[in-house]
Amino acid sequence: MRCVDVKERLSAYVDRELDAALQRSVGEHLDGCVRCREELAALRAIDAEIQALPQVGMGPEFAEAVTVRACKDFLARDGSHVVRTGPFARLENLLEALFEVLEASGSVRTRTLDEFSDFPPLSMGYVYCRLLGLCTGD
Amino acid sequence: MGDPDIELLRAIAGGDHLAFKGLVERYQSRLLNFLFRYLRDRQAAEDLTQEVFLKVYQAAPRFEPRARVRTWIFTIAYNLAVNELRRRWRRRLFRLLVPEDPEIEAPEAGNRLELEETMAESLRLLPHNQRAALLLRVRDELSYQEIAEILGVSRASVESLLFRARDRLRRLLRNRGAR
Ligand SMILES: [Zn+2]
Repeated sequence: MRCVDVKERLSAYVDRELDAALQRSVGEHLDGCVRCREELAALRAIDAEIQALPQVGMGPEFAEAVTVRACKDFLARDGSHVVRTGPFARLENLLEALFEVLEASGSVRTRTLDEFSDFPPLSMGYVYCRLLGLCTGD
Repeated sequence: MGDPDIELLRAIAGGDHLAFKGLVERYQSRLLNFLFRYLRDRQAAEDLTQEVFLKVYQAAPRFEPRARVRTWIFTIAYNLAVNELRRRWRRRLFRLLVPEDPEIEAPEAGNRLELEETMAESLRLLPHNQRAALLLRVRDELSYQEIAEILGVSRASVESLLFRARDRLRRLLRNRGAR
């Protein structure tokens, strides 16, 4: 294996996601190549830094609050949505909904749309519903 | 494939509130941190974390165990986050046409080590899907297959996204010594 081939695979090697044969050949190359070992060390250093970024935490009451909220929503069947105010709120809602329809028709990412919203994302009913602020647009 | 969360999800689907609370406690920190690093906005990350759980609760009865529960939960989180970024982008565009109060870029409070700041900053400069893949891999230790499902791309694409993300970070961070 040449260094360029190894370099391309180091990222997957670090993740142990290469198939067994490749994982082995990269390992063998690394045993005999200082430069690629340096590359590997640099890659691991990057990962270590990402892991070391500080964690943020939720308040202690979060789980309880979400549970209560979920039950209430379930009973009321009224999903949460962004409530816009101001003179341009309706226009903004309309534009946003139209944008979404245009975007959705041009993209393949419609999986969650049909899974989670009650209106088909490509329908004008959806746009109308967004205009009234009735559904969330997720 | 044993999925420890399946039973929990079945219980939730059956209306067990304690099971739901248990699931929230199990995932709240991971989701919050993923969303925070992805969006780089604490408030939005908290709101979306809540949103994810509400969706999980609603959709639990319809969950089909083709995927792992955690993959499914992260998929919901990722899609919400992508929508949030799009919404912001549109809003910014809209504000250009109809100026309102200026968009407040959430400032990050407190003193941070410069090293941290540079890494967080560099992460932000990655393309969205590269950043998501990297966070899911390095911080949440998900497999390429799971990340592929979450991002809705092939496993090979995940490999390439991660390679490019790390390569880009290396190049971005190489310059920081010079600062
Ligand atoms: Zn080499």
